[in-house]
Amino acid sequence: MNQNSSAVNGQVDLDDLTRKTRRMEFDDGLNDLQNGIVFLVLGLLAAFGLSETGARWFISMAIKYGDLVMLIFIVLVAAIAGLLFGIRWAIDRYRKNSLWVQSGYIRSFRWQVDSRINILAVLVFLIVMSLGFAGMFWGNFDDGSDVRFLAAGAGIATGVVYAGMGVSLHLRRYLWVGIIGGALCATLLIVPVSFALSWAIMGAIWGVVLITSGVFAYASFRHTWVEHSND
Amino acid sequence: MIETDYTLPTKFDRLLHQPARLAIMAVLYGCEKADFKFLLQATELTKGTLSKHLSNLEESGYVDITKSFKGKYPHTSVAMTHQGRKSFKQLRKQYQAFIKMTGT
Repeated sequence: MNQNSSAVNGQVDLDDLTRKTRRMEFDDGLNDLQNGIVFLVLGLLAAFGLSETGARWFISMAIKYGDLVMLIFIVLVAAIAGLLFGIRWAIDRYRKNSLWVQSGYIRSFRWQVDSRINILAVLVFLIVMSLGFAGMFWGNFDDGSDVRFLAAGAGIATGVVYAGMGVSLHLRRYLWVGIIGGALCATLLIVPVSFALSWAIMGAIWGVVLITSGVFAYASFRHTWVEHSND
Repeated sequence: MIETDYTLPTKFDRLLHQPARLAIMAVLYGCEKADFKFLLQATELTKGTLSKHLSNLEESGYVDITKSFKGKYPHTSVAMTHQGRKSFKQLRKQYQAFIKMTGT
């Protein structure tokens, strides 16, 4: 609904109120920090797990120790999932008991991205993927381009999601996060690196971009929060 | 060509077509649930007015109100019901149609 809608009811800009509520989840930057950590962890895992050395090490350990290695692997996966849920839980507690005490508490929707943005991100991913396969098929790109474009596509699609959210929520920070992260991931299209390294680089790019954005947003939110507390 | 339906405003949901209640619903539309304090700040209503309108919305089945205690202090959280979401969406559509029709 556009601004004209406020003329109908006299004074309420419905879209602005809804948007401000949706934006609350992202204003303090904690969401960025959480997602940044997730990207870094996944990037590190990919760098090791998808590499030849990692795969060879895992197979040799499995042959040597059998089920014990599988058990350790399962525990490790569960520990990573637990860490991610733990971060989410800690953020929620911190907001509830401290950060959002003055502003009031909301529980946001689990998925905040509009379906149109999701569709666009998937399309971008598929186009980049197809380019990788097509380029390799016609011999324009190097041999690893098909799998490397997978990581590049995922990184650029993530940029589309963030930029799209920046536009729909009127959150300029996310627009820049999306553009910068997406553009940096696009460099994977031309830099010939291995499959494992391409995922690691993608994770590192998004990890650094999101953590930087989160730190700045949190510092600014905290500053406003302290100012209000002193009033 | 847009069909002119001058009776459209008479079809607006009268309970929702009121600035304070519209503001409450617009805020709740953007989240799963919000507490009383957040609604107070977001809508800039007074405590009494917000309470009154929330009761009206709850009676009509548009919101669910949960009252609890956080330590010694009472805590109220409000969520939009499925029916509330549907009615609010419909009203937004009617507003858009009306704006298009009148060209304002």
